[in-house]
Amino acid sequence: MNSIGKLLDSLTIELKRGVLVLVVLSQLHKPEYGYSLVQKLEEKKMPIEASTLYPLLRRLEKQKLLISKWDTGESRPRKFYQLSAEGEEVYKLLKNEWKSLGKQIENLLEEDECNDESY
Amino acid sequence: MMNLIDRYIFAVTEHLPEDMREDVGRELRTNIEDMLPQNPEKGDVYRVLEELGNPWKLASEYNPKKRYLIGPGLYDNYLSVLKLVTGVVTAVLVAITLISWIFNLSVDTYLFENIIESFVEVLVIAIQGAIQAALWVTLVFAVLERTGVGEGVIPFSKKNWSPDDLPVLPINDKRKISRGETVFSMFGTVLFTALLYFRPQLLALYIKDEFANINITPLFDTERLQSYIPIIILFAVIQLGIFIWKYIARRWNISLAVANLIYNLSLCILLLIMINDNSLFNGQFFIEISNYTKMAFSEIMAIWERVIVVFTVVFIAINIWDGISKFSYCKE
Repeated sequence: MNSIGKLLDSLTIELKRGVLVLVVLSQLHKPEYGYSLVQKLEEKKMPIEASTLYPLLRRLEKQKLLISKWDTGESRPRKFYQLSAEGEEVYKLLKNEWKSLGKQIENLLEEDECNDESY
Repeated sequence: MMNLIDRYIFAVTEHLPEDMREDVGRELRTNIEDMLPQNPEKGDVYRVLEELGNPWKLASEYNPKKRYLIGPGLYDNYLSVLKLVTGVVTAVLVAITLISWIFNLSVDTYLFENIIESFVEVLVIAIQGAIQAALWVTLVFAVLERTGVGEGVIPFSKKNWSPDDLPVLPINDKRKISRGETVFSMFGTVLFTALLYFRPQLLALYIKDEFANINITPLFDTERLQSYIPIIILFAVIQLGIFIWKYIARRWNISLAVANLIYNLSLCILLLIMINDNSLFNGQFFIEISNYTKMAFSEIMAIWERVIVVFTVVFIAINIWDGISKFSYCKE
């Protein structure tokens, strides 16, 4: 049972890794800094580890999906990230991909459940 | 406490390219400070750094650059070439050392300590040779990796894979190049070149005189042979290149067959030039034969000339046949 649990854990992590970018893009219509995004995702029950998120933000910036700005106005200077125009576009397209993929998978699983009942 | 954070940030940024070091460090510091409660204690810092995990791993997430010497595209070829070259170089060096040692034997080298000394010498030469060979192979492959040779889907080519690239099934496939044979030929080339380079005087006539001393008369005029050494080494290097190519390709193809034919023809030309160079041969060699066989010098020379003609004709015939026949292996 233990080995099945372990396998399930790693498979779930892999599933989540695929939607990581979509999750992050969805939260960045307004500027956020690293830790505020960690907290926001935790509140929404979609936690991402800080050590994964911080480098990911930089990579998305390099791919020109995000723009960043240092805000030195407050007591502690922070780097804020926000979707670029290109990022908004990509987010919209990726969201549609996700929706249609979700539907297709839903259909597959439903079909499978019907088959199960007929046995 | 701050010291711990500084050390963590240093550990992450030290592996990063210089232009992103400062910005990543600054951002990481505010992120860590954000994760800490107000008036943090040492335990809090400890917990946050533990959550961020191994700095080396974090750095690799930040760093877009290649962090390996030889990537998976070239790795298999690297390993097989490494084994081949190190093996051949080591074996040849040991063989040459042993041969020269045996030919230099005199009475006093039978002493036990001399044998031990020679054995250690062989061992040292073998290890040095292996290290040198491994170093150069690794260097060449690291350069190949950096120049992007391995980035194609097929190693050593930028093309995308197509079903045409599939290997032929091994049943009765004439195109297939036997690896054992290639290694054996490679060994022969290196040994022969090394013999000409280091110990040409070993190609000689060995005659025992009435006092049981062995008189050695070399076939070649050593000084004259020296002027051929650069071109002989050039030939050996090209030959080794073709062998390595054969070893990797494993099958005959048109470009390999062309290279093979050109090499064979050039080798024949070199042979013709050397054969016709009378000063290359040591006159004393033929006088010794004449003395030993009690035949007239002119008779010996006549036989020698016939031997040379037959040898040359056979050599050229074999090389041309070898060069041309490989083209028929390229057909389906």
